[in-house]
Amino acid sequence: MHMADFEATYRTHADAVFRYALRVTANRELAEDITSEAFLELYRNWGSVDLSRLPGWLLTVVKNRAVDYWRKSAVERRYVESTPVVEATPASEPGIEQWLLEEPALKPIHRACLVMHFVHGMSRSEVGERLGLSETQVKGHLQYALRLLRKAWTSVGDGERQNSESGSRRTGLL
Amino acid sequence: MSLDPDEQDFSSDLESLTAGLRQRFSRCPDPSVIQAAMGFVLPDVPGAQIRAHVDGCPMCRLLVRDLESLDDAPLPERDANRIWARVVQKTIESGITPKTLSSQRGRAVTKWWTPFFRPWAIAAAAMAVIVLAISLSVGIRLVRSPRDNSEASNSLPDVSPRENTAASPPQSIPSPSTSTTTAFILEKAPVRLPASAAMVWRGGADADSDRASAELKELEIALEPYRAGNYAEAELRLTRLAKKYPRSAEARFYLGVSQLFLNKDQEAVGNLKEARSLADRTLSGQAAWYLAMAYHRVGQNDLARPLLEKLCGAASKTSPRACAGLDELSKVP
Repeated sequence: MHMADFEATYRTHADAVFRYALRVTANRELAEDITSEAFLELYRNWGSVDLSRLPGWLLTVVKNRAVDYWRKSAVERRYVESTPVVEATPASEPGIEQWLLEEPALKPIHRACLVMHFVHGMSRSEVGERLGLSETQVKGHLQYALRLLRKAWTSVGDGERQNSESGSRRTGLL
Repeated sequence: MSLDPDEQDFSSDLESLTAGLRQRFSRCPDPSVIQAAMGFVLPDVPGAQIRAHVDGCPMCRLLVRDLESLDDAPLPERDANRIWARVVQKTIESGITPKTLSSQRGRAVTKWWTPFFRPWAIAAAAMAVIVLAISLSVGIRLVRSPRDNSEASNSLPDVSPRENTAASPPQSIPSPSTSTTTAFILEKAPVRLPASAAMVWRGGADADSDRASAELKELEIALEPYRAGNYAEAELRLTRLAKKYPRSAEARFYLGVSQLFLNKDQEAVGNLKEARSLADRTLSGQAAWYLAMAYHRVGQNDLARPLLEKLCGAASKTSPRACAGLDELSKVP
């Protein structure tokens, strides 16, 4: 094998392998590390691995590494210990979810920033790290999403005021 | 979050709105844990619990859907290059040097012993040993008198060495690295700044000094990934630098060495040749050593030999390795 063959194989499959690693680790740094580990494993087994089985073979390596990571992860242990039974959150008040789902100007990137920042309490840098964005980009997406939310909020409030002078704007969204 | 002035009146509403959101979805797992559960990489129990939560939680479902669509974005080339550099670094650290494998180019790396270490082959061999042993035992019992039984049972291990080897676990599979030439193991060249750096440090104020200062600064920046072992990025930066400063021996030299680490041997030959012709006395010896290694890698031992002879005869740091390299080349037909 020449390194050029190996690099060509890497260039062909790196994208799929990294995306899968990111999906199962939710951590870009770790995903990069696991991706490089998977290709190192391929390098070690070059000659015995049927290349027609790629990228499946590489994805299996990634999955096994991710399973190991989560098994050892303190985050996961803390979560399981603190919340032994996870209950579904009742969706009795559709307000803001409905807005999040139905607002056509809200793209997945805005929504993800909004939910991770406001629902999960992640800092802008944490959101950026997860999504591969700079803190400034996250700030921009959040400001855009909040402007839309404000617009919806105001129009709901105005509508309610028209219907009932004592109406609360909050009841419209939450 | 800083808001525009006209949004200030909205901020108090926003605060209560987001506080309500947080409270309402306070039991939602961390996004990373949700994604791990959806990817079936968590242990069974929490994994199933979290998936059940997601099924019933509109906010988590929404987040999973959005993150999946965002994660589908193609990997930027810059990131792909960074990961590739890590792969290369790990292959070097793992001990299986690219050189080891590049010497096998053009043919499969499957070894003759590989089939013997497959689980089915080991099991089959073990069975064969057992059957043979039983046959021997029964056969000996048939031909010998009962008082010889103890001897017959003692003869069980007396199977052929070949069968014994096949049945035993692979204790010492010949490592591909055993065939590696030791003198030509690639080592990183330490970073040395060009002689013009001294002029810059002495505080020269003329145009030449300014030019040297700019070149030195750019060289320092280009060498950052080289220092960090990110040879793919180093190659990119040093290629740009070598184009901008065609008389820079250092740019060519570290570019050539980076290319050796990336196994771009032919390109390395070109750059190291150029580096050697441009280099001062200090760098020239280093350039000659790496050029000899590059020639050896591309199979041009006839061009590597005179370089090594010169280095071996000179009293320099590379002399012992050059002499060892010459010795190894003498064994090559």
